[in-house]
This record gives sequence, C-alpha cells and structure tokens, in this order.
Amino acid sequence: MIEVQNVSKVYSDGTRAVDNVNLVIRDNEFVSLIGPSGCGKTTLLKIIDGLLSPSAGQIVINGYPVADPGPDRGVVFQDFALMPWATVLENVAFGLEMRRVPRAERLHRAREQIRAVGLDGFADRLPKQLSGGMQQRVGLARALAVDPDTLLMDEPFGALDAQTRHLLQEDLVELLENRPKTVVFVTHDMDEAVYLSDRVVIMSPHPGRVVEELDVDIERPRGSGVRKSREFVNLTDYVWTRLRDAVRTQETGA
Amino acid sequence: MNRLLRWQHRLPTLTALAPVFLLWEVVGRLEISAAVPRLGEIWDVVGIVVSQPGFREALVGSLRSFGIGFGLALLIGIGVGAAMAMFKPVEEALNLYVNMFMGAPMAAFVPLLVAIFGVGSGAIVATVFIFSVFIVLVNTYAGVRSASEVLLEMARSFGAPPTKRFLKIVLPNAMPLLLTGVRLGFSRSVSGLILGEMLIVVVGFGGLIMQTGSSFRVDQLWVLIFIALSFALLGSRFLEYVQRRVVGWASTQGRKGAYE
Repeated sequence: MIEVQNVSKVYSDGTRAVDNVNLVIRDNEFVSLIGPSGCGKTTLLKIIDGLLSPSAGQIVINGYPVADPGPDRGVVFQDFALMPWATVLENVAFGLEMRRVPRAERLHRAREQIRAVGLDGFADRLPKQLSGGMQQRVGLARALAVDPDTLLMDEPFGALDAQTRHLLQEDLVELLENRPKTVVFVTHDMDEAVYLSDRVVIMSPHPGRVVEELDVDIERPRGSGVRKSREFVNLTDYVWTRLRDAVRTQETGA
Repeated sequence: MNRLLRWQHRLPTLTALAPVFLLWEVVGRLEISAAVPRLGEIWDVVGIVVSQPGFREALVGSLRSFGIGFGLALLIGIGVGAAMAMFKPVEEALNLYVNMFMGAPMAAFVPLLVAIFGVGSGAIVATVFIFSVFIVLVNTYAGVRSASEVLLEMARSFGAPPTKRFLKIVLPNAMPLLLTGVRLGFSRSVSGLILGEMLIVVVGFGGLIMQTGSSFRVDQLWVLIFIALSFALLGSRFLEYVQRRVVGWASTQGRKGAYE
C-alpha cells in the first residue's frame, strides 16, 4: 500500500506544483492521475518514486516512509529514456545491472521481458531502429525486469499516435492480468485513464490539488469493446466535465 | 560481394584524385613551374629520399615527439575538459582561458615555448601538445555536458549511484564528441609537429623538409610532403574508423555503416 501523506512541493521559483495531496493506493490497484498541465501529476509521481523530495509531507509504502528510489518501484518514462548507444537487451537489463544482478541472470531475465512485451527478435537492435511504440515497449520491459511491486508510469503513451496508444494500452492490461501490480499512471487522456484504471484521480493546477477521486466500476477483463459501452462513455464524459471546470476556473482566474 | 563493396567505397577517393594527378602531369610536362615537376620525376627520387642518411632517425624522432605531445594533449584535454564539465568551480576558473586559447593562432606561441623549454625536442613536444590540447578539451567538455537529464533521472530511478551514472550514462553519451575532438586534435598536432621542427630546431621530419626545401630539391621536397600528408590522412582515417566502430549509434542514418 502506498500512502501519500500531506505532500506538497514548492519549487525554488515559488511554484506550488503540489499542494497538500493525500492519497491511498491499494496493492494491485491501477490508479490514474489526470489533469491539465501544471497540475503537479508528474511531480507527484516523481515524489512517489523518490526522484524528487517533497517540501512537506511524506510517502509511506507498506508502513515505511521512503525518500529514495527503491527496487519496489519501476518507472516507465514519458520520452522512453532509452540509452541510444545500447541495444534493446542492454537497455532492458539496465535496472538489473544497477541492482548488481549477475550478468548471465540479468540477460536471461531481460530476454524474458523482451518476449513478454512482444519484442522477440529485436534484442540486438538499437533504439533508433525501432518505432516509438516499440521503444516504449522496451521502456516497459526495463521496468518490469526488476520485478517491482509498483509500476510508476509517466504519460508513457503520450508521445505515440492514437492507434499505437490503443494497442499498448490493451497489451498493458493483458500483462497486468498475468502479473498483477500496483500501477500509478499519469496521463492527460480521459479515455486512457478510464479504460485502464480502477480509480481516476482528477487534479487541478496552480496549485496542484486533488479535485476528486473517481472509482471506475467497469468489469474486468476489459476488451477493446468496452470503449463503446454506456458506462465508459458516461465516465469519460464526467471526467471531462470535472477537468473542464478545473481548467476554466484557472483560466478565468475565478 | 564483400570485395565489390570495398571497391565501391574506395572508388570515389580514386576518382577524386585522378583529375588532380592528370592536371599535375600536364603542368609538369609543360614545365610551367619549377615547383611542379612531373609525377614520374618525383617517383624516381623516392628511393633517394628514403635511403638518405638521417631519414630514419628524423622519422623516429618526429614520431616520438608527436606521440608524447599528442598523448599528453589527450590526457590533459580529456581530463581537464571532463573536470570542467563536472565541477562548477573548475569551469569558472578555467573557462576564460580556454575560450581565449581556442581561437588563438597557436604558431604565435612557439617562440614562447622555446623560451620555456629551450631549443630542443622539449619545445617541439610542447608545440604538438598546445596545437591540439584545446580542441580535445573543448569537445570533451561539450560531450560530458551534453548528458541528457532524462537519462540521468532514469538511471537514478533504477538505483544507480553517482559513479555508475557517470560510467554508464555520462561517459558513453560523451564519446561521439570526445572522439571528434581527438580526430580534430590529431590533424592539428601534425601541423604543430612540422611547424615546430621547422621553426624551432631543424630536426626530425620538419627539419628534413626545411633542408630539402632550401637546397631547391623540389622533387624530393614533394616526396616528403606526400609522406607527411599520408601520415595525417591515414591517422585521420583510422580515427574515423574507430569513431564509427565505437559510436556508430550516434550517426544520424538508421543503419550501421552508413558512413561508408
């Protein structure tokens, strides 16, 4: 269980990126953080990972406060963050290498993950030889390879075209069915948030606050047909209404 | 297949040289200038040049001066460049001097080096060094500085300590620029060597060029110039090859070997 307790983040220029956020994320729950840019969703994700330290409050995981990145959390980055000089295999094995897993074992485990994300046969390619979708599959395999309890995903599919994004969403759902994990997923895409999540956390900017937590009671497994269901449409509609309010309030300064 | 590809890639060099040699031969035969003898005449004196007394010693001495001077330039250039990129105080202390020397005409410093090191191989080594050290330094600095924040953050999130972040992210990321600096520095150091040997003491290969030039043996002079050119060209080509092998990933083209 991940607890976000009274977390605030004020940057040195005075920006209140995150303002007193409280959140409880249960084991194997899929939670999306959604909101317009400037709502502090990425900042909050980085604080949960320990890449940023909060100005106030703390992150408590399974009863213990954490301040640094740990092997229990794996991040999937927005711009893939692949090393351009390293092959797919080396990129996927990177986290294991940093955790001092012996070479033979880490290559074996990396190959397994490459297979799991559907990149069989691409182990020796360089990132630039892959499409964006494939590159993010590498990013996902790298995070999965260290076998974390929690996946922290920072707008992982934001840079991809709509078709590729749908495909990766479906593959992610399938992966998680076989290997349940806690996921904190940052996005600004309402469809994506509702389709993937058990719970959607709607945030508003300046300062970054939680506006509402919304349970998504759509049954799993969710096939791609779910996107056309009445429940799905109603929920995305509702998220949009709340987001619009948040953005409008900010834009008009009211 | 392999052979065919090799020829395909050499062909442009050959075709580029052919018209120049053709023109040369025409000018040579017309005896327009004493500076341009026929190619055949030059070829005929290769044996004389290479077997003359002192040729071997000159070559060995030059190579030694070059090796020491360029080696030191790499050591200092890479070391100081990396230190400047990583430690703010070092950067602030040295930035002004580096910028000043980067654009300076290095030949102007040669008399100063003689004053410091005396008339001898020390001054020549120093000339070789000073010609390339700044370009190596600046490129290393830029390479180390160019490490992507995104990748550094990624490494940190996977638990990489600072030393690992340097070895696994900063260093490989710096390699393309660093090797470019080495390649550019090599050519500059060759210029430094010849210049130093001609200006400071008439020794080594530059000395041979001076002597041959002042005795108006133009054909022999051309042989020496060709040897020096070949050294610079082959060295530069070799470093290009190393660069392609080590940092082929950085080429803008998608496939490996796209440089060829």
